[in-house]
Amino acid sequence: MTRAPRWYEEGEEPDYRFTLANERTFLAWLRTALALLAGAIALIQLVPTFSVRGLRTGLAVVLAVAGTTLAALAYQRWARVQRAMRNNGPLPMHWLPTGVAVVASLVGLVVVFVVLSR
Amino acid sequence: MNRRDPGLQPERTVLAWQRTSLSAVVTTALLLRVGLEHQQPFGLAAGICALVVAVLAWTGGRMVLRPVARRVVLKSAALVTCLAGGLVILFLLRV
Repeated sequence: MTRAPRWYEEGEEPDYRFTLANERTFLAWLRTALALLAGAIALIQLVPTFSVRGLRTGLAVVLAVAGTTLAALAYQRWARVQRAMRNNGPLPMHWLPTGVAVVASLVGLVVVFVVLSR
Repeated sequence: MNRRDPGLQPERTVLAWQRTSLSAVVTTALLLRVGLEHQQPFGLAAGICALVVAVLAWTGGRMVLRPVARRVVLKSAALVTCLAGGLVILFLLRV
């Protein structure tokens, strides 16, 4: 893992400000992933048991899965953008923001609905 | 990089690393607490992972002016976070 991948050396070194901006974006996504993991734990700790068996745990697992995949995707996004910058190519589009927003909203909606309908 | 940077990017990047470290510390506290409360090894292990992420992020913040080593820290932070997430899932399915 400490040996640099091939793309890391190809192309030319981008303006360090773009590199730092990419890095800050990665860190922001990583913080989101950590928050999703914390949210999964908070869900089973702070929210009382739902009437539907297993639903609360299921939702917590959804959040934890989202957090785990987000951490991996955050690195992948960082690597792709860094590589594109080195090769002066277009920055890759990503569905990350939409995906996270959808998952987080859906889980939140279900939780609110269940809690309010008790 | 010692030229005056009007965007203050290195400083902002250090702060971003520190914010990440803080988020990881909060997650660590939550996970360790829950792990201890339920006497669950997965929860405790996940908490340790989050603590490692916090240390890695703190290290990354110290290295902003040394780009080469930072990629390793970056990748490690992502990996350990994934590991913590996996352990959290295992914890949730056992509790």
